[in-house]
Amino acid sequence: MSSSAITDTSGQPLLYVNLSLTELTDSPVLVALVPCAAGKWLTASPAIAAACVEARRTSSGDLFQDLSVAPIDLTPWDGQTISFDFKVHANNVSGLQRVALPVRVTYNQ
Amino acid sequence: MTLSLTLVDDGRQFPPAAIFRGGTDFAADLTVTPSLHTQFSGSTGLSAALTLSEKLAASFDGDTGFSATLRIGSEANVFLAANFSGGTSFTATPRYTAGVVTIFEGETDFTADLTLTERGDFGFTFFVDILDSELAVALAKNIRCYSARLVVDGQSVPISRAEINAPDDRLGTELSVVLADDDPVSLTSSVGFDLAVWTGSAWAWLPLLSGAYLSSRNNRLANQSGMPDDSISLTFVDVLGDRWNRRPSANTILYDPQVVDAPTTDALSANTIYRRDSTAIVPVYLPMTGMRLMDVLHYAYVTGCGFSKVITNIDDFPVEQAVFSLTGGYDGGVRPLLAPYEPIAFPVGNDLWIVTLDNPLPAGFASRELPASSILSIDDSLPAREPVNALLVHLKDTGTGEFYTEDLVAPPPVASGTFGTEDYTETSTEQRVRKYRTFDNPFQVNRVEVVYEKTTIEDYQFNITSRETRTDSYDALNRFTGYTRTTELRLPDLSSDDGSRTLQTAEEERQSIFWEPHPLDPNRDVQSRIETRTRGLILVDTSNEYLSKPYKMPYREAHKTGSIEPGSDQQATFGPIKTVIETLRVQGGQVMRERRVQNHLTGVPDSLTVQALPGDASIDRRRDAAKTRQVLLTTGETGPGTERVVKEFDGTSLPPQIALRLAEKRLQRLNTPPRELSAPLAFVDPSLLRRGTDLKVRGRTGYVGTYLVRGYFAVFELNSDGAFTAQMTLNARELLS
Repeated sequence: MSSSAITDTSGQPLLYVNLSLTELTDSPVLVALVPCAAGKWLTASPAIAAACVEARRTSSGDLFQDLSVAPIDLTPWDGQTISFDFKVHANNVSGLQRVALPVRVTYNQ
Repeated sequence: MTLSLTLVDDGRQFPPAAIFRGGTDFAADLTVTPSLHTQFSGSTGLSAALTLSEKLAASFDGDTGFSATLRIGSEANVFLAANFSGGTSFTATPRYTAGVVTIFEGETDFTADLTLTERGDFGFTFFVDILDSELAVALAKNIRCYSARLVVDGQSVPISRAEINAPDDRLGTELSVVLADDDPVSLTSSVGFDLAVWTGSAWAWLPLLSGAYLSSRNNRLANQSGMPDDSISLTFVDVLGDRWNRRPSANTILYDPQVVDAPTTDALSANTIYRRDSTAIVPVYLPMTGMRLMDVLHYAYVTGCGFSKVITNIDDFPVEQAVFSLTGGYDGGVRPLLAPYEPIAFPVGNDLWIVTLDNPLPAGFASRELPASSILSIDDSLPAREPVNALLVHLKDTGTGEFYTEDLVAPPPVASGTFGTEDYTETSTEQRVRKYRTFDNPFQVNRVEVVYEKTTIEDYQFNITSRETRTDSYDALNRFTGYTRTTELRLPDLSSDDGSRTLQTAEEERQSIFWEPHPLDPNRDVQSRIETRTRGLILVDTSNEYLSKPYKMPYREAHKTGSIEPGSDQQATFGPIKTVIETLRVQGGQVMRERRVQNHLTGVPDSLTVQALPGDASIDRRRDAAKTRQVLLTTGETGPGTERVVKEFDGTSLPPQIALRLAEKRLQRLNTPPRELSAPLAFVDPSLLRRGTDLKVRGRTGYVGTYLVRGYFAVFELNSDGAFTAQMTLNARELLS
């Protein structure tokens, strides 16, 4: 079986992205290509209080949606690789908080 | 299980009530690797329509649906893709009693074979350091005020100096302190270290270390200028750093029984260790069929060292054997497998990340900048080059004398017909091929196999008329285990009034090949069963009934025969079309092949054939793991002065194709190594105290480069005014692609 991966716009598989944010600010937007399949969802669970990952389909005009609360159903684009915009929104924190936010394509919603 | 029955009255006075009494048996065959824990949760439903004929002979027509979700361990939100294949049989004997009720007694058996497919979930992670507004403002200023404290069992202990060190080559963090007062630290004390930054209105305390314990103590008695100048120095090690020192209770060997023989009694006794009381510590041999690197990492770092999971971008290659000894520990058993990749390891919470340093930044994304105003000095050094033009690679010999490399190729499109006319087509192909070579002549390709192919056909109007994608699969022993093929065709769309044609997934075919040991020679394998399941678009015509049901036929056949009528009562669904099951049986010097084709649309088999094939289609899966081969890689330089001493690369712990790929990269790195950076900073920035952070470093005239933090060192010292001064140094390596 071939293995899939979320890649950047040059086709390089993404493993992790480092960010440093002040509370109540957004990160720059990262554009990534997501292989879609029927029954799969783009999620960012579990939800944490300090920050959230938001995404929307590139050039769709849609609002960014919190993937931990509203995962994106990839079924409509089954078999295609679709470009998505990702960004991180930092919520209220105290001092310095270090978090890891996994973005996954998975069968579970 | 729920069962609903609908009685159709054929005119006789049958009572409407029906009672079903029976049992349901559920049996499933499940193949699970040792690292998986599985549970089934689901339900079965059976719906059947009962038609009672004159003589009380009853027939049931219905469908059984089974749905289940397969969850890994107790992890939420982690599901596997699973195929359940099986059948149901339902038998019931109607017994009519005296005009009151009709009772059915029977049983339902359900058997299923579970095939676990690739897990299918993938993604990436954002590592985010979030600062509150006041702290962010304070860290942006050029004048900063620090404080630091040692916390022992919840109590603050005064210190005069502290050094916190995260070395490049170790996992945890070390803390050294000089106490300003009495020593309250015992061997069992739980120790933490906090840093504080003055925000203008309050101290913002940030924990840098927690759960550490005493490692060493130095008590110094001295005089200076006639006055006592005594000091107590303590060092601590944190829990994460200590985890790498854990070991199993006995020498433990993980091995793949498909490749390596089980240990003999002599081997067990030779490796046994004895205690003083003569009790034995017998080595433990754990078989793990199809073992791969992730299995070994999971055993070492999750089962052994207590992390929650291991995340890595290193190839998940097959591993024949991994040894965890009392002297080397869990980390020592894994290091030989990871060493060729030169990875960096860092914890995130209770997860362990092991990543290669060659992990380029995402396209269009910039690293965090380290401005020149933050830096006291930069040591940007190119490590000593070892200009070599050749590398001697030690490879594991698979016993067949053969290995392969994989390439992605895209031959030029092939056109047929006359351009601009209806018979013109253009076919483009994308393939991933395996090129098999021998160790005796590694640069000569002996045979080529296509493991992935995508074929796209366009018509004279540049419409894609078909796209077929096929991916082959192989197991850890390089045995062909089947393929998946998806066929997209430009077919009429029933949802449009004029049936305009769109590219749709017409068929999905999945073949699974099962292997078993040869009945006469356990060291050889034969194919025992081949299942080919075809699902696809089905035309359902509700206005054309056959045996009181809507007529169904494969959609592509309906298009060929002109049976599609847009705007009518026809619908398109996606479902099973046919299943071909071939069973193979070794019989003497022949292979008996029985082939059955089950048509799911008609509900009857299409054909049954039995063939006797000559020969013995078996393969030898065992190989001699002790043999090694040597391959010389060169840069291609020739001429006087280019013949230098050859360096060596040990790739015997890796599959030959991966070892060769890493060796080529190593040869390139020896000649142009990545630069190393050491940068003492003017301030302590707590958000930089993390391995794996990428930084863009600015020099005098521009950017020096992009670097990945591998370690850091910070010093906090009490000055004569009673305030702390703080300084940190980053050690980083150039980020290369």
